[in-house]
Amino acid sequence: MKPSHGRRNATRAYIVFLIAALTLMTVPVFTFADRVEPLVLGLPFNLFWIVLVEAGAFLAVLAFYLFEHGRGGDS
Amino acid sequence: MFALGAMLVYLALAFALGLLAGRKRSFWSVSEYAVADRGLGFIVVWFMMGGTVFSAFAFLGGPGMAFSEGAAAYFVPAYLALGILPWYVLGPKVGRIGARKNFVTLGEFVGDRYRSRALTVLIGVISVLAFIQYLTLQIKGMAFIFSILTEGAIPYWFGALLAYGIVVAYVASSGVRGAAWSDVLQGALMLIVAWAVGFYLVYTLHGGPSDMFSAIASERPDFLTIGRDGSPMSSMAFFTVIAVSALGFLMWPHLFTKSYTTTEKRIKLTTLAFPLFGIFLVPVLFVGFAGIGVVAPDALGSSDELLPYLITNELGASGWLYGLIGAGSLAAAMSSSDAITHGGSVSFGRDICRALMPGLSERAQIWIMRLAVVGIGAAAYWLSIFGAAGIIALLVGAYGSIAQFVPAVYGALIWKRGTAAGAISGLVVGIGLNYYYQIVADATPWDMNAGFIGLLCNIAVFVLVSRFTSPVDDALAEEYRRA
Repeated sequence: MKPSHGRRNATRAYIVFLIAALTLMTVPVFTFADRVEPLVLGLPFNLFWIVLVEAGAFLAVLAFYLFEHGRGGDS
Repeated sequence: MFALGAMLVYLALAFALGLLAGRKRSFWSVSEYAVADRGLGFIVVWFMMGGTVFSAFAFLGGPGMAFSEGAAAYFVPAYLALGILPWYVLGPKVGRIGARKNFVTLGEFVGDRYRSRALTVLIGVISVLAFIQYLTLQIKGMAFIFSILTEGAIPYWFGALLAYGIVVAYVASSGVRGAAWSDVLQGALMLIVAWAVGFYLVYTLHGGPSDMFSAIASERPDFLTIGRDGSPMSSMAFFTVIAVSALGFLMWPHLFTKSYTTTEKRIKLTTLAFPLFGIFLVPVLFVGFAGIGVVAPDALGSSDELLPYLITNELGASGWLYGLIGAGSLAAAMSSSDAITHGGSVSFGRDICRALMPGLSERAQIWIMRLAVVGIGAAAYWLSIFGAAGIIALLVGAYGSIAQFVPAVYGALIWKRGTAAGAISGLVVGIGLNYYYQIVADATPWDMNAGFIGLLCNIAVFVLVSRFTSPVDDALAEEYRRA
């Protein structure tokens, strides 16, 4: 129930991660990735970029989860 | 007829599963009906959240958007992932407070924090209206699929009645558990179908995704980018629509209340899946891109008709394909409808009826909710058969108003000083602006999303008015902030 010190830090880090994900998928970072060439895995580069950021977001949330609940953890 | 047979088999399965889910559970408990006694398992929550957001929009609107607006459709995979990510932090907090105070809706959460029954009722009314609008579009999607894939053998009104009638029946009888378990079947089915159809169309019509995208890019160079001269969407519009979704998606009461149905660990594990859901959606957009150069834009009455048009006109009549696509898209529409119908009935029962008549017995509330399923269902059905509007405009229209709950909800969790007067006036300003820019005005300043403008002004008014009104009891505000 009561958040320990480590937990609160993770929440703050998670909020930073959310803002990062938003900037990577919209402005300003997306602007630099916003082009068709080169095609990657058959996708235009900008669409591939969004897929890449989502894959990264998956790994990031996984890391947060393992950090908070990995070794048995609280429920 | 194979297609009809496959769709009917699917409907029967969904119906049976939905009804069985509620067996041996207390029929008379509000907590069971609304939040499954806060005890749903991880896989079920995962499919329920996924199935709920993966609606008729994904099968009809998404491809239509890719076909007519190119890169603007990239916002679909982006907002899906970003919209759910805040749940990792928000969900456990809301779930803890909800369990302690026995909440089942978003209106109760906000109403209790700001000590305002008016706020609860206001949120209840907006939610129910938005739900009806949202439902109309799912019902239209179901009717449309039925009528096209059976070549008119099942008329528009009857297809909608059949598919949606089943949803109403299992939601009214089994509550959230019915919706959740049928979503497991529906979710699995539509993911398989979406991928099969997306790749099938790209390879048959264009020889593969690389060839398809190269051809589109050489034909219309800026169609596949955001914010260039010839692009279908400006950078500002792209940024603001995704930002509104990222903040406002969880304000949909049927998603918000899922925080009450399970544990902190399961909420976090569910969040984990959503970036992957965003990736799963990419092949659905392939359907839309595959239509470019194959289907003449004026051959369609509306771009939402692209998928059915491609199937009937370009692929030849293949029975198994028809049946598969029919069942898959029905699944997408139904898995959203059940959650929305359920959410609407709970909002109506708790946020409107119980807030106005606090003395209602539990048994009376249950009856109101189960009857509201039928009432809301009938209203949405009537509107979808006799009303008319494009699928996407409808979704975006209802959506903008829901996102206006953001300041009140996030304010409760981070700011002690927020007051009821602030929350209500912010909400009213936000919704007013959203409607003005969506319905009255032709353009928005700097091409910003209407909901985004509403949200900015909403936050400003919320903060300003809260400063000048007296705050709630400190202990209460702290309880929410530290949850």
